[in-house]
Amino acid sequence: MRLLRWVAMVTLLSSTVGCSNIEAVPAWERGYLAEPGMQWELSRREAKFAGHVYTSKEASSGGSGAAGGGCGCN
Amino acid sequence: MGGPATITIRHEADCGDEVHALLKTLEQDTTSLEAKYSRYRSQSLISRINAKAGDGEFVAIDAETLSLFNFCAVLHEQSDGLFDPTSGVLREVWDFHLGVVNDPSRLRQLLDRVGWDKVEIRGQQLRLTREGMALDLGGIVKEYAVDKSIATIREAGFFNAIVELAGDVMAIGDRGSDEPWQVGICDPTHPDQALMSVELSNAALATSGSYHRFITLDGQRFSHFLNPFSGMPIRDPRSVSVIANNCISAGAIATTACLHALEESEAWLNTAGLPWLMHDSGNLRGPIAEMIK
Amino acid sequence: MRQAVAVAVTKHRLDSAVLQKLPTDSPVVASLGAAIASLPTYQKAFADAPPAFTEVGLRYSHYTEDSLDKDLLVFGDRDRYDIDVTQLWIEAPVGGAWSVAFDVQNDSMSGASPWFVGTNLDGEPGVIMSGASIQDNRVEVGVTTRYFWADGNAGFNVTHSDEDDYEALAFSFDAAWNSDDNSRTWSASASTSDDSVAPVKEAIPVFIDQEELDTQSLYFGVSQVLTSTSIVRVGLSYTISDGYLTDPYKLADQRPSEHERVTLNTGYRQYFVEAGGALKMDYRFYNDDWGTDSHTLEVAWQQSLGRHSLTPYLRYYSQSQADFFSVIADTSTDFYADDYRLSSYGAITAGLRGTVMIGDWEVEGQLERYDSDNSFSLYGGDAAPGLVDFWRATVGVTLRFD
Repeated sequence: MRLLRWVAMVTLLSSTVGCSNIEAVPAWERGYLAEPGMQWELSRREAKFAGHVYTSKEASSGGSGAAGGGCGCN
Repeated sequence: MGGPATITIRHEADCGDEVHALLKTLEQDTTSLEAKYSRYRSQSLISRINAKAGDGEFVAIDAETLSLFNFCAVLHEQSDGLFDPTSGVLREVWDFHLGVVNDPSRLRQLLDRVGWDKVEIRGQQLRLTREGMALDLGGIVKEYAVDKSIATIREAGFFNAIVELAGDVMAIGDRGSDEPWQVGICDPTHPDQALMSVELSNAALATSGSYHRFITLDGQRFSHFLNPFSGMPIRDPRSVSVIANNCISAGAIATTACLHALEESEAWLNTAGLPWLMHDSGNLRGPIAEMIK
Repeated sequence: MRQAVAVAVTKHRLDSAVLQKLPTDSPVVASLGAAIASLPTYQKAFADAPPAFTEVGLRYSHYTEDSLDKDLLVFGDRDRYDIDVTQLWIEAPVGGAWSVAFDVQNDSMSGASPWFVGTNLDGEPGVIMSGASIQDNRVEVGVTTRYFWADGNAGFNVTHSDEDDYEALAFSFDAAWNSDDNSRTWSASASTSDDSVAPVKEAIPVFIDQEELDTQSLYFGVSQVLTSTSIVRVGLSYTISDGYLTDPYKLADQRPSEHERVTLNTGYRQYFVEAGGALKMDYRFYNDDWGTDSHTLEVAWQQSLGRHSLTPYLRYYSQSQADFFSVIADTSTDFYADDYRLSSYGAITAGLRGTVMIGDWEVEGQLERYDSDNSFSLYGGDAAPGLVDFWRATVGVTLRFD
């Protein structure tokens, strides 16, 4: 099944992340990780908006967390 | 813990009771840290370890204590042995409280009881291998107490606070309307005058030494910091302030700067790479001093 | 919540402050930090916490689809959609461990869209546009509550979307939890959406009254702090839709009643201390059971300018065509479509985003251009007429207060 194949692949990927012996970065060295540019999204509302635009114009969707509702297609 | 403590927590008007309870917890936590690590309290963990020095017996230590000793070990190594939590016994000769020197001929004998290499840590147990040895965590516990209080405040859901324990301070968030917390650095010669004001947010400032507290021997001025190899006090008393992301590291860097000879002190501070300020014989040096020029 | 460190020194209180960040840790400081890293005191400093302030924001976006090329039009108006989107939200902490967000979005669209693909007098495929201009308005209302604890947070969202011909009610639940040393974050979410289509029978002939669509989606991801300046994440999503997936406004459109989609996402962020900026890279691979694969690559540079920021970004997208797509729909098969969105094409987005902080206000502006073409595609396949290009502009303000 499609889903199982992908789950296997991600498990593999995340275990690679786990095995590569990364030393924990202590909390007080995380100032740069807190920079606005280091966040996953430009802004939450921009991500929501862009996701909606692309979903309505392209065949692909998903990947940015759980799917929202509504169509707004044209 | 020797000196005044001030804790300020900015909060909403409707959670006064919560803050009151939190302050109580912080007071208890700080008192219990002192009870655990003070060498002046006979029932403290440190006193129990010291009492068993040379017995050959191991004393069980908890994870918190082990981490603090790990910290000492790293600082000992980084400072090429200058920072040594066992050097306190040398005060039997150098009495800075009374400003007297008791029988310097005992120094050689005392030096046998000094040395981090004579502390054995095995798993979660520790022992001092020579009789008469004594551990003193005074150099880091106060700063650790500041960090621990800040962590407790954050965990309680408050993100704007400042904690000061006898001159060592850490501030998180701001004091309202985006105004940062202000910490004054005093002029030791005029303690009522602030030399400068430092704004801190999610940062700590620790100060070690005091250049106007010294003893004079043969016309030379010595500080109350002791070299663990020679047993002698460090020349050229100075006070050093360091800013870091946590108080314990700021304190460790500042303390070690006071243990170095004056000419090496600056090199050590620059290697550590944190903002620092040094005050010696009225001179003001370092990146913090540069910032106001 | 991760907070930036700031230090400033002033000679007198009123002197202008020299704000600066603490330098990156030297080996000495780093080794000291490592020694006490296991102490709870030093682990919770960046634990999850609800926002410390209330945020109110308003955003307005406008996008204009380019008029259809004259060569590609067989019949109808060349003008396509103009869409105005207004987003309004408020997000506030509640007590010490909760936050609540309330989102309202209004989409107002007008224009025409391709009805079907036929051939022009030369026998070349071209678009027959829907006749009269369509007007539609969509209103979406969402509420999210989030609970924070020392090692993570969890949120629950309800969103209702309503327009003339479409109604959707969606619920989602998400959770994120951090490893003991806070360097790894696991996140998972699940959502369900209950949609109903009731096409408006005006300008375009439609053949259904009302149809239903159910969608379920799962996401699982993990992010890992690599160094003090880099972080990576990997995620997997699975979505299944069951029900009416056909476009009722297209003349020749018949799609399967089930649609399974899987995505693999990766993201990387690298901060450059000297430059004061961050490189953002994201890649997504998408695969569905209608025969479409796609690759999406996004690269952005977010430059900090004091409290302001400027972010140029690029996005490349390429998809393969669905199994039942053909340039001119082949209605003799079970499933068929001539929708350009199911064709093989590539698209490039280039944009610039800026934010300016004025006191407690953040003002944002963004402009982007989207161009799509069959020749941009990584996959083969025939060129569909009617691919869309557009300009998009956004302005917004956000106010944060205690």
